[in-house]
Amino acid sequence: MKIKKALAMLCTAALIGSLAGCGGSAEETKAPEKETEKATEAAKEETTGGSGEQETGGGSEAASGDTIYLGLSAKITGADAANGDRMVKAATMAVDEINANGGLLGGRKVELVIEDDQTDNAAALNVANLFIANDDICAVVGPWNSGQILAVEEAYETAGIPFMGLGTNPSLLELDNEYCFLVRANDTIMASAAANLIINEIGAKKVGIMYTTNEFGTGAMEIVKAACEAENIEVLPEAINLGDTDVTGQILELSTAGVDCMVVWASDAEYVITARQAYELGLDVEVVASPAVTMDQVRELCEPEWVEGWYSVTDFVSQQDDATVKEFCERYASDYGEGQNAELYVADVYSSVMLMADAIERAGSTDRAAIKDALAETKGFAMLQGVANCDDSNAFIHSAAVAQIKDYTPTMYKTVEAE
Amino acid sequence: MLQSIIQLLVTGVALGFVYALVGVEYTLIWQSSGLLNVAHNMLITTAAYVFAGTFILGLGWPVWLGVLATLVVMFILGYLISAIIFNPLRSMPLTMYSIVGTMIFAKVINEALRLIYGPYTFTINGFMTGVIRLGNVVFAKAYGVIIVVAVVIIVLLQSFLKLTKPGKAIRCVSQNKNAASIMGINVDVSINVSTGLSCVICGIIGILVIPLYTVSLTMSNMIGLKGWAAGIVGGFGYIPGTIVGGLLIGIVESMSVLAIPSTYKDIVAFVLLIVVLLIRPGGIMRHRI
Amino acid sequence: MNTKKRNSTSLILAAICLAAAIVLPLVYSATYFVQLFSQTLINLIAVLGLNVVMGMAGQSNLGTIALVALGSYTTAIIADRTGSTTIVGLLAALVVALIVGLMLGYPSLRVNGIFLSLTTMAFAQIVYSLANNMGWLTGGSMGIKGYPKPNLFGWEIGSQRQLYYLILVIAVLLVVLSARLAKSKYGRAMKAVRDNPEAVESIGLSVTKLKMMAFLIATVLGCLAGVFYAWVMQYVGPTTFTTDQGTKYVVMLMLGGIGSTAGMVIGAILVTCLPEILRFMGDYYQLVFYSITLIILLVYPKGLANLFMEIKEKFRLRGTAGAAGKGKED
Repeated sequence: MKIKKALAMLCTAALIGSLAGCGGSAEETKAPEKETEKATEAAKEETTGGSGEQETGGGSEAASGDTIYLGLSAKITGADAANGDRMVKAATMAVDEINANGGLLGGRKVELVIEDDQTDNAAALNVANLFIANDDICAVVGPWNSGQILAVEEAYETAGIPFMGLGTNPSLLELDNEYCFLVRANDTIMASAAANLIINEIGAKKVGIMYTTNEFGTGAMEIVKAACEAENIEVLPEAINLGDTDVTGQILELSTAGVDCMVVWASDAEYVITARQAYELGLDVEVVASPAVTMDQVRELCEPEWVEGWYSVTDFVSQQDDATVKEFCERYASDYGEGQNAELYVADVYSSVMLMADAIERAGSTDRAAIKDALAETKGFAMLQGVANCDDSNAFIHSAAVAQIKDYTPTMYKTVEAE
Repeated sequence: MLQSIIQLLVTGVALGFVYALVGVEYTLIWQSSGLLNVAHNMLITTAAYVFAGTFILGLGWPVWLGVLATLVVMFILGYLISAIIFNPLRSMPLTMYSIVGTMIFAKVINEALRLIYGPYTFTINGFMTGVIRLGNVVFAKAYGVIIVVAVVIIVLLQSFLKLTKPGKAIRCVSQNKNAASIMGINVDVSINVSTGLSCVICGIIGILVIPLYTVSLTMSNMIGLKGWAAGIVGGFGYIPGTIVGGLLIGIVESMSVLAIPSTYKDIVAFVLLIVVLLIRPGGIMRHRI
Repeated sequence: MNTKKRNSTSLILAAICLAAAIVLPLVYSATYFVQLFSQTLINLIAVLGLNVVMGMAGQSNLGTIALVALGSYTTAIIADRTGSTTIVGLLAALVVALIVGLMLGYPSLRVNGIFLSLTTMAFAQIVYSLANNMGWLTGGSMGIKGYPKPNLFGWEIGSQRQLYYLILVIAVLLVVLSARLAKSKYGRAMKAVRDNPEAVESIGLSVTKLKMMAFLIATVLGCLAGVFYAWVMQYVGPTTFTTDQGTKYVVMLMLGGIGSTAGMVIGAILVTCLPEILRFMGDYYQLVFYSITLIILLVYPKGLANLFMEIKEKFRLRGTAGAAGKGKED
């Protein structure tokens, strides 16, 4: 009995002790990433964030010093932790490359301040607030998910910190937030490319759309549906719940209706289940799908016969003839990716950091407003996904790549420019 | 149309057996120790990770050896968990302590798995994939395997419980612990063995569902929840009842797509649970716990 | 005489807590911290309700997260669709709370223990599923944002800090009420329902009424917490309300000390603030936190508040007794 009590008290002390002992240092933002931790800690001693400061309005100068701090909001834990890991690796690769090439603004080194937004919208807001409380951070890359971006955009606008969201939901284009920048081709462009393919190349008459009920799937479904119906093509949308483990019902509806083309626009897990069950239930039609199948981690969950011949609209195809892309993929796989191929997440985050760096150079300082203006003026900046031109909605990329799975490998099919 | 119905039926029966097995494994623990093992879905996931991650992909062992090794590991794990964690939990004053305790335990397992195996979803290529064709109807080979294995397991389990000495001891302990210990049965060991057995079944479930759900941290969450529904709908705490409940839920939810939009399919099991609970708490087989 | 001493110690501790609660957002004034403090208060309000129904009345309720969700969504939907003053949203949330309270209370009259746990778990799962999928009402997985800030009778609450103090006032009020409820006739009757339901009927009190009352308190407090959540975050989305997130309420309840109001305060603070503070532990934080919680639950299930009380008792006995209380009784 006594041992039990002692054990309980010990554990309690551990819990309370961590609460108290870390109370003092809670003001400083912590970077769990091991490489940047030491340097960040040292810099943090000079500029403690928390006490008595209000978040500043637009146009504030990030605290001057030798290092340039870039925030990264990555989904390190939570439902999409695997891709969060890629985000961190890609950003680290970009920053290392920048520093190896002499840094920015006359030799200043760049440091990442990495925080975990837990693939959660509320947590993303907490991370945004953490970054906002840190005077050193001049700009932020992330969060990734559209829902997260919606949760944080107002906070960043009030605080005057430019950030790059990697979401693709079309509603992001209507935010009218001059501090929010969208670095990927949005769903409208991607879905239009899919519709384009269906109408002009595949020539389908009846299209079934398997989509997940989140913003990603629903948004794309609506675009494809509208585009197809405008061309008198019949459309059958079938919704899949996130977390659904069986889509037999949906697939059977499509096959009894006799569709000659299937669109799959789903999140990873549901995508794989759809691929499997479409094959098992004998639905053998042309397929145009969202990016997932071009990514190794999803494709490897699928048997080759399930996805052979599938078209996929994506940001980035790693297997293509472009020399820059080849070099990038090799470098990632050998130095950062632990043998994994560079794919969509890696390419997008790496390019975002590179674009941010370019904007900082053009701004000529770490002034947040200046960086924001420089980003807004971006023209003709080459990224792995395409050429970046900032438009009125603060979106950069206006083209999509279409890949086709041949022999279990995504190969570049064509690039589609947005109208 | 007929073809669709048959396919939906096959899916429903296969998933129904999965829910039934889930029901069986927690009922074993419930009967012997009165504990509701809310962490059971994590145990199923653990088995899948151990099988796929460690034995097949990690060590490259053949399937039969991997299965055997996983089941042995699960038994030992179950025994230890029962002795160390469930034992103190079941002697607590309120049942809710044990429920909360197993909930927290589930999170511990979740974190441990994530740290050991990483956050990436993976699967075993070619494992129970492919289709079976019976006339016009095609269905996944995995479903066929699940149905066959489930039936075999249930028959084996019932034989074990009814015919063998340790099995009878377990049933004795379920009915009356005092009487059992007077008869010379070591109640604690018996409970530990029941838990070990339950974990073995979790192991089988975990291995069977890999081709359906791939290996990820959340792979068993839905079947874990629907397993509860199976027990309540069929007759909580009563193995034959749980099996009936599982099959019923599997078939109803599968066929429900003919009537309601498929997005609401997942709610079917829980609505059934609440309805049965309010109208006929003993479940279909009317077994009072 | 001894009770007076015990009460004064508790009062002093309570005063210190209150002082800290008032001063903290002035010291740590960045939005990040103020929102964190507000979130702690919100969790406290929700778990006070849980304590009444699960701690005092002994009725299982694993659906607190769904209650918070309902309160948040009601507020957000009304604010977003009508742009009307916040009071309407608040009242609507209370109506929802009352309806749900009756809905959840009813099964508790028919079944108990395990079944009630499962029913409330199923309820939480259904609410989440609906929130995530009924896009036309709830915004689906994108949630609802950009609705007007809370506006009470013309006073627009613009800053996070003002909102915090408003919630603090309500929270303190509820803590006091909760402590008084525990000692009141109703509180003791509820504890009797938990420990000895037959006895309750025999002295003429209605078990039905008490159970329903307990559930209604839980749902009202849960929905209220949800309303405040919507006000503070200015964004409501389903990922906050998964059944997985719901475990944190039971952890607060158990860790803090089931049945104890002070325990709820401890639990809410620990579970809300530790994850943010321990961000540096990164990967290992959750494993460590939950393992420690499990160990505490196994060895001392009554929770930290009761642990502290027993320690205080030990010291008191050691001081006064001497030879008589050898201090080894357990």
